[in-house]
Amino acid sequence: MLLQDAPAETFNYMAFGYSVILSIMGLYVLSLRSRFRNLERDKELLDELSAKAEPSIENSSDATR
Amino acid sequence: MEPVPRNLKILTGITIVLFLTALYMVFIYAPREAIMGDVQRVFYFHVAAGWVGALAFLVTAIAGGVYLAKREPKWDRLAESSVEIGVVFTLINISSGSIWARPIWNTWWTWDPRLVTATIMLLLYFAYLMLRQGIEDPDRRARFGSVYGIAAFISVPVTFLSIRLFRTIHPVVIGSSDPAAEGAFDMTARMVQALMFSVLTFTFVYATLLRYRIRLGRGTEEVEKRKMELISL
Amino acid sequence: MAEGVGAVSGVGRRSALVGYLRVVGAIVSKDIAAELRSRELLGSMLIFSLLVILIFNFALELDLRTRQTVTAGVLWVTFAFAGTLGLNRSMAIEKDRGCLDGLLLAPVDRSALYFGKVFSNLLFMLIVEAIILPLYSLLYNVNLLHPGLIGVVLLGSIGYVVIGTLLSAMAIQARTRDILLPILLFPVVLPVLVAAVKATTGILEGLPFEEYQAWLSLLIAYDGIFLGVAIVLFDYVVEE
Repeated sequence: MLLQDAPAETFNYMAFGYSVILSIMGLYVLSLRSRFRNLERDKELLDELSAKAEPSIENSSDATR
Repeated sequence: MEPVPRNLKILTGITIVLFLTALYMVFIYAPREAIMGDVQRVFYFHVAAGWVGALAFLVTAIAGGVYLAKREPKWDRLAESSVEIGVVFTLINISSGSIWARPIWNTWWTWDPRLVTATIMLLLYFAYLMLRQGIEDPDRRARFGSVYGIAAFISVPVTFLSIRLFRTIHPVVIGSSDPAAEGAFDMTARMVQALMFSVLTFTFVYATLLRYRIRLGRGTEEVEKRKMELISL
Repeated sequence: MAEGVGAVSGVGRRSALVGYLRVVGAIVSKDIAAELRSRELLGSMLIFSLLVILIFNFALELDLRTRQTVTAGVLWVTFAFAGTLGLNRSMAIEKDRGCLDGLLLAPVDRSALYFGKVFSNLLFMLIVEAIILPLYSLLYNVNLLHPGLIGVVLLGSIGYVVIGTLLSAMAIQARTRDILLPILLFPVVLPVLVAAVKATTGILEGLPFEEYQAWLSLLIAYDGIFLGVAIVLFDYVVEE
């Protein structure tokens, strides 16, 4: 196909390719990380809210579960 | 959030070590390809990503089947998590394939059966996610996800065959002498080792990411349940 | 679900089969009757097909030469899009009028429901195709009324409807029902379209049978595979 003595100079494309590969992987890991953090925050919020709701649970007779 | 179990930590550690080793192998251990030069090194992770994409899809289909049989939510969670990771790796497969093609065939896209099938697989995954998104009832969502996961997976080999048949009759790529080969080059022993190692590494990466994603899914479900309970108070 | 058939086996397999066929027939005749009254399905599919062909006429400049190579593609794209309309509408009618629930109460294997819908969907699609093919022939001076071509249209439509009915049963229950069906269907049904277009082109260009015989095999294989897949999976879709 290519009649050359030396291989083609394609270093830049390799660098581009690997940057894309590693970026996509990295972005996904980051997205997982941030979703975990949001989850933690939601959990804390729920803990707070249910702590506040606790006293009223004891007062009300029907616990709709 | 339940603490990260020890074996997951160990798995993550192993995966990181493997990944770094793989990088060494593709950049240093493997020789420079005689004709294509350095860009050929993209091939190792490109193939490995393609393998993981297909594996993820298979796992989704099987998990869907098991869910339909057993109706335990954990199987649906597995299926859904696997699809997400499969999307990521299929994207990696397609984009790396495109970048590899550019200097070799002077085109950003080749109608190579594997690349086209990977794109269709991506579309199938997206459709799967859109289907799930459009259904509110969790039981139905799981059921439909399972059904589509199975049907979609079965269509992939049929699609691949049809495109392969199409291509053997219609070589389309301009400038490529051998349309069937994905970048024909002879692989030395070191290259084969680098490829095998990359595939192994990526399988570990898949397994690790999958476990984390499943944890996320479990946690999200718990939070949703607690929200419901809180609202009903 | 299979209890209905199993329970009757003592009385006679034959009456179970008759019962089964009766349900299938009931669905088809119900759909035909409804369609004769309202004509909404056929009407919209036909008009849509004509519009698509019209658009192609201008988009592709179907002059005498290009027409030859492009006819198969234009036809199948038209059928694929019109088919989506038909599938969507057909299932929506079931759901919105609550027919589905009524049918589900029948003590017969759920696959009877599936076959009933497949047959009526197929019937409507074939009717539309039966009108479009001669019309296209007239408009563009191409002879499309070739028995081989009709065979390909039949095989392709079967493959399309077999998987389309299963997927439309799911799509109809989602919020995004109308746009979801094409998104679910097209990537899965791609081999049918590829094979049908290639086989159609082969026939139109008068190629010898061996040239396009592989495509026919692919069509038949697809039809068989997905018929099996859909029969098994349909139960899980209409479970409730």
